[in-house]
Amino acid sequence: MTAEPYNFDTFRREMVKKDMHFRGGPEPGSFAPDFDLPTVVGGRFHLSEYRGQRPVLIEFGSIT
Amino acid sequence: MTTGARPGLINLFNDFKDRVEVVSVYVREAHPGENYPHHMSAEQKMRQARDWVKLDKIPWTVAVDTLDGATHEAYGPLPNSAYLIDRTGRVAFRALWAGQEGLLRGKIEALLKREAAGQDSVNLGQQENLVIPLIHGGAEFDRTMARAGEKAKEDFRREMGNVMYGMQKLMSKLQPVINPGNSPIE
Repeated sequence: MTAEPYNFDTFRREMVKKDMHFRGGPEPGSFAPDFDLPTVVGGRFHLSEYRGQRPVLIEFGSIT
Repeated sequence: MTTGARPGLINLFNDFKDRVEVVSVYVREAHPGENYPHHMSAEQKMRQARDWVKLDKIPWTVAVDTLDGATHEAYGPLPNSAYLIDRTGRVAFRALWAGQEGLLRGKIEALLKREAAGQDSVNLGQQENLVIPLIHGGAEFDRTMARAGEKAKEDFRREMGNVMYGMQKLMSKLQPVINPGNSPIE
């Protein structure tokens, strides 16, 4: 069985099973990995700019 | 599931936007179909993110991850998780599924209260409950599959079986009752 690529083209039951629990990612109390990404309106979002300023609520998602 | 989480996040955004920064990170397609296939270029990923913002009328910042999902991978590549980051840059709380307004509201309020009291590095734990998010997500099943395309629907039915498929269809019939907050979207 070959590993699915990150951008899988077919929804699989196996993935749903894996997504029932946290696997990796920063645990509560540990530092959040920084990121600096383009936004849909042409700007940038840089997480560390909010450090010392205000909390950040991050949602991960897609249109599907 | 992302569209199912929308009504709750809209409420949280409206209530906390002066005190909390809200951002969505656009990641790989959870149910790729003909209309919204898996991403093959950064430009395509950006286009699909822009469609989402337009169709779901998302009022907060939406950042688009790299094609290889570097940020998504760094946070554990889940389809619709939520992370609450405190002022020190640490994770105060995380939920496996974002579609839980009451839970997130309680954690945001607790974090703001503790930060106002001068506490740094607030640890409020994590939560993996699927029941509430699945109700809100299931209610958007028909909409999401219609958007994604027939392939996404067929894949879901084959992989999850007729019982789960039927449940999602049933919950979609109750969409106006379950997710009234999504009535402004197409």
